[in-house]
Amino acid sequence: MKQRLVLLSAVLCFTAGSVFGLSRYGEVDVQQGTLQVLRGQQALAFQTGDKAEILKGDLLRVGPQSRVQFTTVEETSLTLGSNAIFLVKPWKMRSKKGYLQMVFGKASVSQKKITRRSHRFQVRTAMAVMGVRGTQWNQETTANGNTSALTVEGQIFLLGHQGPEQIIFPDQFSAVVNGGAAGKPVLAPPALRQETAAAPNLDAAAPTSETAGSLSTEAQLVESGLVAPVDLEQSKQDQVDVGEAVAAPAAAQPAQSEETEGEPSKQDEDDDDDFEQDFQDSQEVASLDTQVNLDFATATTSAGEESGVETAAGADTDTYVEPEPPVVDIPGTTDVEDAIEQNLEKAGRLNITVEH
Amino acid sequence: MKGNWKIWASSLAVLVAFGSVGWAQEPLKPPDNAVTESAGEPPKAAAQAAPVVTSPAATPTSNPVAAAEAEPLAAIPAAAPPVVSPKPISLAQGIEPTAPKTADQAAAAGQLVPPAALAVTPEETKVATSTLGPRIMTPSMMRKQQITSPDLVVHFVVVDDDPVVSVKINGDLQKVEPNKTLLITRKLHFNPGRTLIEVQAEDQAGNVSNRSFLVLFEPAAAEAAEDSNPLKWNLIIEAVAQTDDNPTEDLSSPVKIGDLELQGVVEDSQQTDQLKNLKALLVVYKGDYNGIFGASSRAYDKAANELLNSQVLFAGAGWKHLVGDGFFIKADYLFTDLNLGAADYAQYHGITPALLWETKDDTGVSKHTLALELVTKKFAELEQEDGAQQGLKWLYQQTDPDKDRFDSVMSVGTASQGTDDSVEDYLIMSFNWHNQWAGPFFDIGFDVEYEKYKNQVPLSANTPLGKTRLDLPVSYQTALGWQGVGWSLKYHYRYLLNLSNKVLYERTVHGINGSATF
Repeated sequence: MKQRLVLLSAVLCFTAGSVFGLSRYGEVDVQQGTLQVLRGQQALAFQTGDKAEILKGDLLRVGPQSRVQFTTVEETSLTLGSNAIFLVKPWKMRSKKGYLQMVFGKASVSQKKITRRSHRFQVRTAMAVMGVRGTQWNQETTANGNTSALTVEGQIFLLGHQGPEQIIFPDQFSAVVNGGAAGKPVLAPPALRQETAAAPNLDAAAPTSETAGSLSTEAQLVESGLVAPVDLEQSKQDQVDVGEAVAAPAAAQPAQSEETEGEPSKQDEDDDDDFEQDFQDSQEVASLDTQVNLDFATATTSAGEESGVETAAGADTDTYVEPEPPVVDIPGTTDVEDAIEQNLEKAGRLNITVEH
Repeated sequence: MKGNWKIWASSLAVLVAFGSVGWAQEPLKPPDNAVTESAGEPPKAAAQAAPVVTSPAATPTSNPVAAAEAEPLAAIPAAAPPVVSPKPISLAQGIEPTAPKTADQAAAAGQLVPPAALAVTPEETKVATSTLGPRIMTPSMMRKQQITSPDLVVHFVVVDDDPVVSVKINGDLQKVEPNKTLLITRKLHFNPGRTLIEVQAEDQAGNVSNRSFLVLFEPAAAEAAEDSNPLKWNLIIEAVAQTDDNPTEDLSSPVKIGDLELQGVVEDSQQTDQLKNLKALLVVYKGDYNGIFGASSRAYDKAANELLNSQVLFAGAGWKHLVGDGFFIKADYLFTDLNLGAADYAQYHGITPALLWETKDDTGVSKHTLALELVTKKFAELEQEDGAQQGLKWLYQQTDPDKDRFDSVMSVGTASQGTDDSVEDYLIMSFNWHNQWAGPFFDIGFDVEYEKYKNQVPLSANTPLGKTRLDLPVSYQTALGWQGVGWSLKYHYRYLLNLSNKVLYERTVHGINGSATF
């Protein structure tokens, strides 16, 4: 009797959640320390040993000296390090889309089994998108959005607002700094690889600290030529001048073959429909909050200033939708065979004998 | 009856409980903005995960699910300010005790206190007492960017070790409840030009931080960048090496049809030849339009079969437009230049208007195409007049979620090769199955054709095939291969038997086929 009551209660609670649009995105297991979840107007606090569901719309803030295991509906497992901050809100960037947005900190991501569904897991930061192409990687995002990734097993992609996406193979690392393109991956220094293989350091500085704007691997990134010091320096500035050059938008990044190969399954289509609905909902909810009149702050540049606009390829194309390639009927061999047959007949193909 | 009683009782109890939860939520009035913590109750969906939001009537527990089950009505009176009571954190975990000042301030303010406020390291404490202002972060914007849409939804995350009491966006004060973690979501609308977004946050200690973002919105550039139909192309290269045991479609053995004894002109031992075929196809497409350019070359090894070698050049354009739910109209044009035996043979112009229905359900994707085939043919030899082809074609394709595919073609019409003898009525039926695994694939299919040449006299009228020439080609084909991303390699086999009262033959073709797509 009690079991039935509990079961029915759970069903009704789940239904109520669905009605209110708070659908599940995953679950967390606080392995050490604390976790704060902001959900609507509520703050939920969890501690070592606690397990809880994570809903779309949640903001996760991991406490200092903490570890949180986060398993998403895409069957991706993330270990969130100290002071990490993640937001579960639908997003689109170039041809990519997803729910998870990494605001700050470090995380180790692993995918035990690569499936078509797991390819749908992609995490966005202010400057980059990362997604599953392999089984395990570590990533870090600073308070200013600079992002780095190091692949442990398999391979992942890293895509910035500009340039093509880069595939990072095992023991390679790359970064997106100052809103540029993802750097071409290079082999990580031995010390960093050994540290990552042994026990990755997932402890980020507190987001309020002075070092929150620095990647922990900055020295290695600069030494490897992945990051230019001038870009690194500029990215850490909290202020920007209205006259600074801004990179121009570029052609959208084509979807990857893994995503377009074959016809989508019913599950894929349902997921796409759900995502679009969630994304539209998020846009509508946000529009209710529109209170900021930006008109007074608009400063249209003069022609001279516009001449300073960079023309480098790549930029945000948030509304990009991958076009479906047309089906092209490739000419068959029928006409050729017909023609050959005509030629054969003209050449006298058959030797006909009539016997009586 | 007993069981029914239990069910009704369970349902009633749950409904009462559920209704109570709903009642407890009613006094809540959500704030006007997207800012976080309030003194209200958790929403329904959050009820099962309300672990440490406690009141004097609710005991904190480490298991939020258990808490929800044990106290589903652990409603906090709306007037009672909730207090966070996190579990005691041992020093063995490396967590320092709560900073009393911060907790007291928050408790006095009647606000929820995130655990970070209650468990800070010495380093954190140092930071908390520093003069650093709140940290303003966002996953939605960079320091400077150019956007392609005038609207942008932005999430600002503001954190500090003291409660953040004030946030301004371009001087506009946001409604926030003081807290150490704030999430502010705004949809910003940009006018053309450059816009500076300036965010300012102030904590309870009076520390102020500023962060600005430059946003450039140029509609012209946005239109170019937002072109959702960029020009794309694919180059397909295909090479085939195969053994053809009867390229001349000759009789392999004497056959008696009616009162006729037929004998092939080529010795059986000399019939087999090697055929090499190289094809290249360039496909470009943009939105509803596409274009194709290609070439094909077939060459036999034996000089005796030189007249069978062919070179084909073709170019075409297509248009496909969505007019309804899964319903398309399309049209294709194709120009073909055909050379046989190193000499000009013919040029074809083909137009194919078509209707396409596409449906998707649990079983996969189905496509039906109904097309008209209209072709004119101009021949190099003077004795051949212009030829034509008019036909109706129905293509069906079914692809299941595992990428297995079935397709069929049924085509009916008339055609000619520029002579009276070549005028034919045809009916073609083709059925093919493609079975795809992760890498390997297996194809199988068969074709049946009916070709009636009304102006040709058969070799014998004394057959069931009628008094004019009738061909009934029947073929069976299969292939086994491996397919990767952008390439495939397969072994294929085809057997063809033409039952005819004039051109009777059988033919087997098999070989290796490799293709790559760039």
